[in-house]
Amino acid sequence: MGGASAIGDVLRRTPGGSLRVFLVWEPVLATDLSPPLPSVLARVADPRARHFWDRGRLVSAGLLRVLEAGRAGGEGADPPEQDGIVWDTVAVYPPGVVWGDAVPAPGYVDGPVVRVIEEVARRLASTPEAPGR
Amino acid sequence: MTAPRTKTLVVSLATGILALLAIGAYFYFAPRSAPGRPSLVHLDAGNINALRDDFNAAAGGTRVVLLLSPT
Repeated sequence: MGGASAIGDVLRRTPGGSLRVFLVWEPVLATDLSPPLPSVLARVADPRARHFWDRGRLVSAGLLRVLEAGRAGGEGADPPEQDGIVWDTVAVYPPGVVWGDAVPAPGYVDGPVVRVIEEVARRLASTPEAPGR
Repeated sequence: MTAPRTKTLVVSLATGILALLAIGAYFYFAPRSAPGRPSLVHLDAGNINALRDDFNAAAGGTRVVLLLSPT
């Protein structure tokens, strides 16, 4: 859950109306018997963030296919993966990337989130705000 | 003497089990939302588009996707 607090902190210090954050919660640990509690979701209450409960780990499977195919943009290092589950991972997509039939390849992907959050913050801070946003 | 004691034990156990089930059901089925934000969206094979559409609707800016464990 430290990852959620970390991205919540980054959002508090990162302006930008065009930025969007998608938190995909998935069961990984033996204690993940139910979706995150409101107290957990409240760690990221920024209006630019949306929360999803991915019980079937569909996003993880899609991102794993991207990583295994080596299409993850060449940046970032080694996102945590356990028994075929990608988790505690952050992926950054630059403007213009579109999700078609499959999960798109991120420009940057790495983890654990708390370890790489400052690199994520640096990237978000250096992304120019699109005109008119 | 034994029968009433057994009955009390059974009723106590049943009450405890029902209470645990009720608590479990609350944590599993209760609506999840962050204060002031839309509810948690449940993804499955039939509505993965809910995430994809939001992702694509924001294609003019940077998007961050995090995969996290709730505990």
